[in-house]
Amino acid sequence: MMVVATTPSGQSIQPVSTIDATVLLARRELRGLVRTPEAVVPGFVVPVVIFLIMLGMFEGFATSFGIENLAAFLLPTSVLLATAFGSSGQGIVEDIERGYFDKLLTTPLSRLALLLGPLAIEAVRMAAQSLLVLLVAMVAGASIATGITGAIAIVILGVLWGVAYSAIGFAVALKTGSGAATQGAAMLWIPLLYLAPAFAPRDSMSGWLATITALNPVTYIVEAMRATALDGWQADTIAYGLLAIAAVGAISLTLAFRALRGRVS
Amino acid sequence: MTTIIKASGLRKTYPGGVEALAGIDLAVEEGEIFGFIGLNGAGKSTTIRILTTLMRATGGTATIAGLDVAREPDKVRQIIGVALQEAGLDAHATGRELLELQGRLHGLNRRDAVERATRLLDAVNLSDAADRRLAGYSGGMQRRLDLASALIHEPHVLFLDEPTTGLDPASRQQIWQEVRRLNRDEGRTIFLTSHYLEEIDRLANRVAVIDAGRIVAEGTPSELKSRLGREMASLSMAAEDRLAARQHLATIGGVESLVEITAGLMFRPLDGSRTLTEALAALDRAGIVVSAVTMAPPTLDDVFLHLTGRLPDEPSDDAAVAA
Repeated sequence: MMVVATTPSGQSIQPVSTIDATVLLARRELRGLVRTPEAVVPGFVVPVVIFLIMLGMFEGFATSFGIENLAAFLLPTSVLLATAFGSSGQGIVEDIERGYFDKLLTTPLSRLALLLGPLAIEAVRMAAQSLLVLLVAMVAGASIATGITGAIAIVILGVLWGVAYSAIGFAVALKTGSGAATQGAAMLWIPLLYLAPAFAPRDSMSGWLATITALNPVTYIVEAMRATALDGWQADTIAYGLLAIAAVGAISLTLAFRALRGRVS
Repeated sequence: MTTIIKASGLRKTYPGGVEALAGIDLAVEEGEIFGFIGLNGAGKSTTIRILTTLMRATGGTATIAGLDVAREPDKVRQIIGVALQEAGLDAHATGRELLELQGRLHGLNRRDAVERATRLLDAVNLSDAADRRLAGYSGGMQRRLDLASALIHEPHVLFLDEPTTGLDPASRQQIWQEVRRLNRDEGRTIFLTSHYLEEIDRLANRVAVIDAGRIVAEGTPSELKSRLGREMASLSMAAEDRLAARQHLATIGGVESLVEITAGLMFRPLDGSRTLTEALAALDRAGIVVSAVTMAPPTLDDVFLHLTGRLPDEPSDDAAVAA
């Protein structure tokens, strides 16, 4: 039996490549974000506000701690805060709840694109949010030891971490389809960020605090960013940061792909 | 007439151990409207999900136009259109945008996707609302758009799961008209599930009834109804009398397929009015008051009741779309 899908001109339709499908879904994701500004604005506003608050709060006694350029000192944690604001899979939860996820699955689109499209937009969003914080920090007088290249490197580190971490939310979203569970998974970043040596250098910590800090991947990313901002290019510190990102990313992306496969078969 | 949808020994056991399908065999002919009815939890949704490649069976095979749903899912997806119980829509997109994206994902180029979207929006009377956000569509509009999205790639086979649930009568008529047109004028095969037996009766050429994971009956609506015998007797009585009435009627030979219905009891009188008279006399002697008696040709509801012991449920709240 010859039953084939055809275009109006009668040619048989070929399914879309993974890249094309990813682009189509990424565009759809972006369109959704643009149309729900209330979901997007906090990601831009909150990190900037927190940065300015901290700048104001610590200005007085920054020098007594040996910090010459407070704005540059605060940049790493502010960028990390900016990359904590993403969808973390909530878009997928919404699609599953509304039945749109199934609708997409009835097309021959590459299942991988369902994950890659939204993740690509996560990166774009996090980059925009980080760049805004960077801009504000520069205006506030941040002087980056490694110049503009270093500043961009800090943003890139932040975005890579942001996406690597956000994939955990996607994994939970795909596995459970539950908004509450996905939200919970995404919230884990709060202790991670606060258990990093945000303010005190690591050698001043002892006992259990030192151990936890050493096990926290964010620690190495903060240190890499801070070194780049204040001290200059330090290959080994940056290497540790990238390693931490790679380790977390490997785990989170594996979980996300597994969860995707579990849902679509 | 060729068989376009074929299922053989389809089984599905969920990870927790629940056996949803215990061996389903189906054969749908090209160009027919096939009705699939069953209670919630009987295996309807599982069957549709497997046939539409959304889920894998744990045993058995299913093919559509000769293509195995498990081995060649992408090819199957190109020739089937699916509109599930939840009108699967993207709240932030406009109707046109959703249709165009669906078309693109099926492999249409931009121009074809745009052209077909415009044509389909016109066909389902949504041209005016095409550029409004889907979040603002009424239930009926959402269903029509869902139907359009299932047609964007001109599939040969259409799967419709509860297409008119929760719709007002006018919208329901519109959908019925569209379904008939798609079948009659465009030759599409339609696999339809519904809990509105009247809808199945009106639209379907053939019907299969699924209960507890198995097909318990198959045939044209007339065949199924005639298998129950020519007429069914319905007796209305007070709720508290029913148990006693059942016991009395059970002793009368000729009272068959006795079931409880909303108003009272229903059975098939083997000997027509003679059995009925006997039954009424027995109930009268027992002091049970029968407030109304009807003898009527069986409906699909009766068929269903006879096969499964219950009438189909309303779908659960989260599946019903607000009109």
